[in-house]
Amino acid sequence: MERENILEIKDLDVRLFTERGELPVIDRLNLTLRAGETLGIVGESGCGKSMLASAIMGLVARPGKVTGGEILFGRDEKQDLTKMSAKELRRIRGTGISMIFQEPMTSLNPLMSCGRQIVETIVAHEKIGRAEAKARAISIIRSVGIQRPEKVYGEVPAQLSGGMRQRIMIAMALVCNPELLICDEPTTALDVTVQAQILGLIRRLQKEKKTSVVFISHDMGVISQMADRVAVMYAGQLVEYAQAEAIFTRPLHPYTQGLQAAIPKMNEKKDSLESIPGNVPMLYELPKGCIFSPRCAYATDRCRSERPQIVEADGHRVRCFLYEQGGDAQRREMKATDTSETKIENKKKIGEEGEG
Amino acid sequence: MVRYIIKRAFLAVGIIFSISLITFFILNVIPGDPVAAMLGEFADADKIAQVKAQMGLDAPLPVQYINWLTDLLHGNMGTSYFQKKPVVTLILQAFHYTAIMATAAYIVALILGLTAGILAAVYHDRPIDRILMSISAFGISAPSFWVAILLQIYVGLKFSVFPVSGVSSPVGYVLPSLALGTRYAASISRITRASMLEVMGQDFVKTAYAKGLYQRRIILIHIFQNALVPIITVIGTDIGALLTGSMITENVFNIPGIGKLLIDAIHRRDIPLVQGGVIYVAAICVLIYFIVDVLYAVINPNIRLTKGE
Amino acid sequence: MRKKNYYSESLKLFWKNKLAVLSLLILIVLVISAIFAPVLTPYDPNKQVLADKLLFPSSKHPFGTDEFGRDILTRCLYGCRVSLSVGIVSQLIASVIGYFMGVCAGYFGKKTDDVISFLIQVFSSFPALLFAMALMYALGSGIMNLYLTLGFLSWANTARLIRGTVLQLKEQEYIQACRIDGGSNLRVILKHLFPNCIPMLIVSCTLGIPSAILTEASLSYLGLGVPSPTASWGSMISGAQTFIRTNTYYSLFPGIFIILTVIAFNTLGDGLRDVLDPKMRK
Repeated sequence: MERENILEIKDLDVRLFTERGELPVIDRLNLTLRAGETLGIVGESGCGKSMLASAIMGLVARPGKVTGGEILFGRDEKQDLTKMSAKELRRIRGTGISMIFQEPMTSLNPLMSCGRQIVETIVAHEKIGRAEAKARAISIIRSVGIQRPEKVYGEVPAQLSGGMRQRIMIAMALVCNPELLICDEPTTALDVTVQAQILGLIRRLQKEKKTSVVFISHDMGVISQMADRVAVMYAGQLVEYAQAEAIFTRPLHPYTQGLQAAIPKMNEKKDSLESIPGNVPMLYELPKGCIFSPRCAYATDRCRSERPQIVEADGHRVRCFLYEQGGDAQRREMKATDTSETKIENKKKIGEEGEG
Repeated sequence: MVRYIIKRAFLAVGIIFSISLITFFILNVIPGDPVAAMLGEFADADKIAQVKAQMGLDAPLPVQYINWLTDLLHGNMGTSYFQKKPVVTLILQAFHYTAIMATAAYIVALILGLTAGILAAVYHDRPIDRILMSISAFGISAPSFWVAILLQIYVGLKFSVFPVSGVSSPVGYVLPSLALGTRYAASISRITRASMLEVMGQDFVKTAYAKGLYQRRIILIHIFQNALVPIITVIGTDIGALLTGSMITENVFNIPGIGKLLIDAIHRRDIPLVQGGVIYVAAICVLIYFIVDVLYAVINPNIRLTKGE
Repeated sequence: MRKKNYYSESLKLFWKNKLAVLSLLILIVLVISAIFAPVLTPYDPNKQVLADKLLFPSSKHPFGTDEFGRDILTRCLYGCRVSLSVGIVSQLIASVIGYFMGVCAGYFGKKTDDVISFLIQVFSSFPALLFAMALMYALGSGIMNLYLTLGFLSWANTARLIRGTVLQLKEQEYIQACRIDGGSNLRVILKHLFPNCIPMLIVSCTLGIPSAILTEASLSYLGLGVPSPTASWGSMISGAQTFIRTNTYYSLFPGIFIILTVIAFNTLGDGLRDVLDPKMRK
């Protein structure tokens, strides 16, 4: 059964207005999310992922500004979030769209008890009595797997561990039953065991509440556990978009392939992670041609002088000249002509996964 | 936290004690014969010796100091040489006026300073911010007695409602407290703005927006309360400066407060009164700093939570 | 270790701060007019010309004259001498005291640190103006006494900053190495610690000047600053107060000079702090 879209991003442009001029943080981005599904957004830091989250929340702050495109949200009657007034946006935040952030240590108000922080979210959106709001806060705290929610209700964040705080953040985000939850690297700051618990919790609650999720991470491994569809972003542009399975079994774009190679595999013994050489370019010095060309093993003269458009290939949408003729043939040809030597040459081994 | 407060209390007592020493040193050890100066150039040596003996000034200095300190602890600061009344009585009478004026000025400073600071932070880098901060740069740089005179010229003399001298009615406090308050309003607005801006960049503010709270609530509850910790420190230290500032403003508006008392005593070389006035005002300042320290501990969870140690 | 190009780089950054450069220019103009006041104005600042008393501003007396017929502009210019010298000299004194107190506290630690830290607490908890009044009362009015009083009362902040820096520097290897090599304490303090403290001293000194100038003005206003008839902005305002009903401009001009000087020093100090040590910002 084909599900309806809950979020449609069309030709979204976000720019930073700085001393160095207008910088495109997000460049004509198109994405859709179906109701109840999870859209994974992956890329190194500085790719515009967090800015995308801010744009959906209507929280793009100066010097950034949404300069074009639409963000349509809703099931039947879609509303354009970019054209909403501050008042309308406030009503949507928390009830329509919620967000969880990367740093649980700093994302909660240090002076306010966890319970009050959840209650104020309810009170901001619903006409509800104090006692009832408190009861609901306690029940949501319990539902994110916290023992003795009454006690935690009265505690300030400093008294809780990072994992506990992230649970409180999730409780707070879901207390008004939003249709869409944006998770911006929700587990990056946590250690591995806690990370697995939190991911499990998000999946469980998503199923229970039928929430749609936008899940942002730099970590392909985490994305593979969460996402139904995956969008790969690079320097503000969408470079590949496909079903999660397709992305992980047959990554098309050289950048996706690089990210894929960076996932540590349990059965492989490696001292270092294979990764992509170089860094995401600064927005004020974007290359003239394909933005990935300086780091790409397959880059040709054409790549260096001309920007590729998004093309359909193999069920993927991909921004690469290699797939202009639509597909598999090209890909196989590329694999054949390109000896693995050149690939290895271009892939330096670096000590650790440096992005965060 | 109890430990913290006790530690602070000991420190405050130590500071007051040191200040009494310094005051005594300044007024008694430094070359020059205060009694001779007090009695004027026509006093003869006998008279000077007589007065000295009367005031206990012929004893060795350490003994003098201990006598003075013992008296002080018993609430006796001696007798004003010029006014022939107990120094304590004079000071308490005068302090009444100073306290009213300083409180009024403080309220003015808080209202103007916090409002301006919050506005400037909310409208950061926009015209309102620039205008408010330029005004506060002037406010910080203008001596309060000059502002007081400007207020006398442009308000007091234009609108006869506000007297330019004396406090026979409560209206008399309006101009002095405005003159005094604006300066501290300027410094409060700066620290409020800086501290708010710092908090605004923190993650939990973004969370608050993402939760769909009303902007007013985010600014006043989330941002302002977190910004309050550094603001309280500055506001606290300002009270001391405000008390001394009020001593000058009293002289401009001819208010019989402690500042006027002290300046008159200085010009008349009335040592017991000067000594008593200085130690009294200094002790009040230290007391205020102590209260601010305690308050600071109460609102700052990092100190509050370390009750275990 | 600070390198030579640290200062040239700071200077380059400083020139970009237009407000700070403007403030520096204003201060240079003020210093020049303080030094060359006798050349710049035909009047004697203290000579009474009772026939010309309380004149309104005119081409002959741009700011008018005071109750003794003295030219107000002339007295304002001579007032620069008092305010600028009191501000600068007193803060130099405060820097010297503050540096040695701070270095001793940070370098020797233990009991020395306890005593000095307590002194810093004491000197930063009492209201400076109050003790300035008491000291000026005891010492008597005069410009020398102003230098000493204000210097003596404002070293605590510098000492606190220097102490913090020295505590950090002490842990660095080259200082430790020098101590192990048997470098004398004095040698370490002067040769290694001092150069590292210079930027901080420059900034705290510059930022201390405006408050010293304001305190001087207050003391002079109360009649505890320089003895009359020496012109000082504070005492001019005090004299002008009697004539607020008739000669409004009289009290205006000295106040404008105070504000201009204080703002200029504040802006310059902020500018220097930004380029010399961004970490010192609150």
